[in-house]
Amino acid sequence: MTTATRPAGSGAPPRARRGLGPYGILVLPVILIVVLCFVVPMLTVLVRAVTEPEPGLQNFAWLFASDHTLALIGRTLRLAGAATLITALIGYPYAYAMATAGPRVQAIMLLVVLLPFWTSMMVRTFAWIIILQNNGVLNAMLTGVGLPPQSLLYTQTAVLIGMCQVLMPFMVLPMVAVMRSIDMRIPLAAQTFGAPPVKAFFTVYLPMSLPGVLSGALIVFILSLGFYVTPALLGSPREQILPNALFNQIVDLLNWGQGGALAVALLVTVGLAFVLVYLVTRALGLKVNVAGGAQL
Amino acid sequence: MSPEHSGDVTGAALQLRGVTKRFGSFTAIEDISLTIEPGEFVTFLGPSGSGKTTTLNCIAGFEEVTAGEILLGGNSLTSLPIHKRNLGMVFQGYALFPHMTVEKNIAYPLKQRKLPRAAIARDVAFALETVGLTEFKDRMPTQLSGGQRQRVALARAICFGPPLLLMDEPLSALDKALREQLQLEIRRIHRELGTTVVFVTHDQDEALALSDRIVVFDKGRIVQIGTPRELYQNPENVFVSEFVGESVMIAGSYADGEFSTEAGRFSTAAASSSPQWSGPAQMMIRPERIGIAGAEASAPASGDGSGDAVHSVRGVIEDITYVGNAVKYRVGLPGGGGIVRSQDIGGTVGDIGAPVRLSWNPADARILAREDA
Repeated sequence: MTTATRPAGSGAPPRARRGLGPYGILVLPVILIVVLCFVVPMLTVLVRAVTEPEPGLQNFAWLFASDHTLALIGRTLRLAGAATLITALIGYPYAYAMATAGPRVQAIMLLVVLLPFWTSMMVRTFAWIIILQNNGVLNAMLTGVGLPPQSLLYTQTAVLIGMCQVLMPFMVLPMVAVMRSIDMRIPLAAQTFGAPPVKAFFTVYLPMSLPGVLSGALIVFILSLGFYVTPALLGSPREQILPNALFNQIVDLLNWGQGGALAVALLVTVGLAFVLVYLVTRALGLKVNVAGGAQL
Repeated sequence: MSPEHSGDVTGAALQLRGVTKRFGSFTAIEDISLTIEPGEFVTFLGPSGSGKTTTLNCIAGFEEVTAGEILLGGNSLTSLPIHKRNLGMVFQGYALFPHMTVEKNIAYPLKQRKLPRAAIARDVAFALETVGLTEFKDRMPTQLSGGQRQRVALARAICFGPPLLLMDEPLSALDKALREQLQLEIRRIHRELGTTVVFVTHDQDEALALSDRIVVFDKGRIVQIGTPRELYQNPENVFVSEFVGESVMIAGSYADGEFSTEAGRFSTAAASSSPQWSGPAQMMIRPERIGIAGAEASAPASGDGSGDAVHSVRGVIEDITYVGNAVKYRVGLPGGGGIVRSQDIGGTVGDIGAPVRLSWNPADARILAREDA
């Protein structure tokens, strides 16, 4: 078998040319906008966190010393984690059905998942208030079938429900993108080689679709850390989460120092989420594109 | 069902009895019946949409048959789910598990069979050695070339000693040189393992090179079953003669041992087949059985002493292809035409547009019923 060791038809594809070439100048407006509208204000917040009301780290000391802020961070992480988990569990079967459906059904399913996107945030949230309030649609249905009414509005559950609905497309679309690229002969091959359909799914299809799950989870987790309107309207002020506390500090109390420290905490959490997903994907040997077009 | 592997696994007989598959009102395959002997290498050959892949899918269990029965080693496969059929399969596009190493890919069928770890290691090592990829066992499929992926797919399909190995256009994505090299390897592995093989292809050269027998499909039916030589020399109809190999065809009509065309009448008394029917017909001669000469040359005399005159007809060169050891002339004839192959011994018969005379031994002509008439 001397011939077998020779990789036939190998040869790396030509590397993309480095640099941007003469059209690189077209990138400038975008860079300018990002710097002026994003980098500069963010640096301002960071600077204020360590300079107001006086230079030093007292704002961060407050952050870590206060039970209130630690509970805030914990609650925010739990809520984001729950939203990620729920959208993943509901979104996965939906994405699977969508990826394997015919083009017509696929278009309809896409429409359904994108519907909350096209609805105004306020309209969507007030719709949930109407559904969830004590004498609302949901309780009317519950009492109608003889079940006790639930007090859902202004609880974490209401916030979670509202967030999951808004975030569903961010979970489903990256999943569908990956699932559509899966050659369906591969799970079929697993069955041919002796795996019952359920086992073929868990040993082959699920691992192959994992990059989509991970990139969807990353996007949903990060977005839920920054949710403001939904928690403000559906949640309780006694169970605040980070973005709302941040808003309070800066807009209501004009406390830029402590607000800035909270902002840094939020930023670091997002950064940690990125690092975590990066480590997981590297350990699994996957390529995940956080923009949603993930691939194996 | 845990087949203990060894070097001398032998295949099982495969029987198809009246297998029919309909998708709604569309009939993909109709009444497919054939018997494949244990250890036989059989190719399903046909153009796309001819039903060869549907038949394979029915054997593998990817499609449920509408009617008929499939037996492997005497046991019915028809109602068995895919994972209980115990078949080896090489998929088109390989269908390797992209998230597993070469070694894990090959171990997958063995793990499903719950073999002890030592047996799995031994069988994987054997399969890797058979396809010559031992040193690539820790690579991921994306780190392999097309030919290597093909070998991994083959190793995964044979490692558990399946009684039947299905191959769905396994070489179609590879270049010609690699394809021919892998054809040789597939033949060698088939000889070594003695497993029954069903190989699907639309490539007639591949079918001729690999098979013990070829099953030719057209429009959802079997049109002929035979050894490569039988199909080439004695095609039973125009479809087979055109799909398997090149030929010169002349349209005409046949009656009572005589084939009449615009170019003249030909007695078929000496032909390899002198059919009993009469009607519109095609006369078919294989390219290497035809002599080609300039038009001014007189009709050559019969060489075999049978006393029968050599048949000849005038035509015009339409195209010339130089293929190294021979020159292929596409010749237009009254009522037909085709390819004539001439040894390249220096000198030419003529350029494109030149009149030529084709001649052949009457025994080399075949009369086929014309289907379009």
